[in-house]
Amino acid sequence: MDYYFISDFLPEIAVFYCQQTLNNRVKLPERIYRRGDFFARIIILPCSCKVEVYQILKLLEKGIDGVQLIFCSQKKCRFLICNDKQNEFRINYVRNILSQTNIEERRLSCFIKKTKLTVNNFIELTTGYAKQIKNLGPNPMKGTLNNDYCRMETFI
Amino acid sequence: MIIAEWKPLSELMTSLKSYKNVLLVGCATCVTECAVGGDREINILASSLRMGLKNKGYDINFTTYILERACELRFVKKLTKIASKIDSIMSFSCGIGMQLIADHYIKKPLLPGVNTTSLAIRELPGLWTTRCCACGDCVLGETFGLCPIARCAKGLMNGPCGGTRKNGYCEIDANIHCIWHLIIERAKIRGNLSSLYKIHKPRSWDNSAHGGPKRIIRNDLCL
Repeated sequence: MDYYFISDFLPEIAVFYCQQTLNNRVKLPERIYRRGDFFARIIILPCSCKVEVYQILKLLEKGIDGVQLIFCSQKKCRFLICNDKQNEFRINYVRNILSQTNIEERRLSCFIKKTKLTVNNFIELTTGYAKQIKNLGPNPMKGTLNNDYCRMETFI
Repeated sequence: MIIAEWKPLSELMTSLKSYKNVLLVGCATCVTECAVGGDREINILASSLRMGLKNKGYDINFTTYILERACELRFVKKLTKIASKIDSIMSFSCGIGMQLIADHYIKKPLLPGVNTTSLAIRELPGLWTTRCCACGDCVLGETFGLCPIARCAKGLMNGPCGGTRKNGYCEIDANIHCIWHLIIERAKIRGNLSSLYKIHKPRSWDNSAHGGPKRIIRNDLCL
């Protein structure tokens, strides 16, 4: 079913981004944004290798519609221990778990950026992903647990 | 350390279907080291199981607890309060810990969450390799500190067999060293290659699992 035309579905996505992906002078504070017809919770990471599998799963379990990860490429990484390959394995690991639990794998998106991002680039990426999630429909876990994460309206 | 592996998620979900309140128990020692039953892994599993079972229409409450050591009764006893509120326990400790938990909480069904597989070391991040099989008659002194029982696919005491690859790897698996090749290399380094000409007689397996369950008594430590 195509949910895109259902007006009352506002996708709620979490965006983890490595602070090194943005231009040096730009700061995008960690908070929940509402832009158009979606909510985005921005989470800054010192490095992409700091995202844990259980953090992603916890968000999806609590009803968030999608998780987007924005990383630097290995050559641009300022940490010595982080690398694309490890991130790729970790993402595949989560996707494998999601497929086994009947959650769409596309609810986790990974974007590896080779050059620095401007805020506009960042917003474009996030908006594009929110559209994909809108097509995908709400997370089946939404509203099923008492400790529901996905009421972002209340934070704004 | 003792190495274990998760059972497949589908198998875990099938075994949990008939329960309402489940306690997921991890252990902070070996299974944490092998990334199977530590805090992080239990959280991953709890989320995965909740999502998987919810999507199949089963509403199960999960509680998680990490024991400091699941193979020590004094730590296992810490579950007593939680155990009164749950109807089954799924353990992610090794087989030893699982049995101790099952012994102490007889009325609660115990579900194994992992398969205990071997005694191994972490060779690289994400890679564990077997080093010991607890055979009960250690020969490491004769084999230059490399165990042919645990690390040879055939468990040969007089090796190598004819299946060693040219690069010194095993015919069974191209990623595993032929342990007899390594033993010979080490003997050369020590200048003691002649010690390997001695033929080992068939060994006694009485002290291993073949001799029945082990019971070790130290009178000097008994109360």
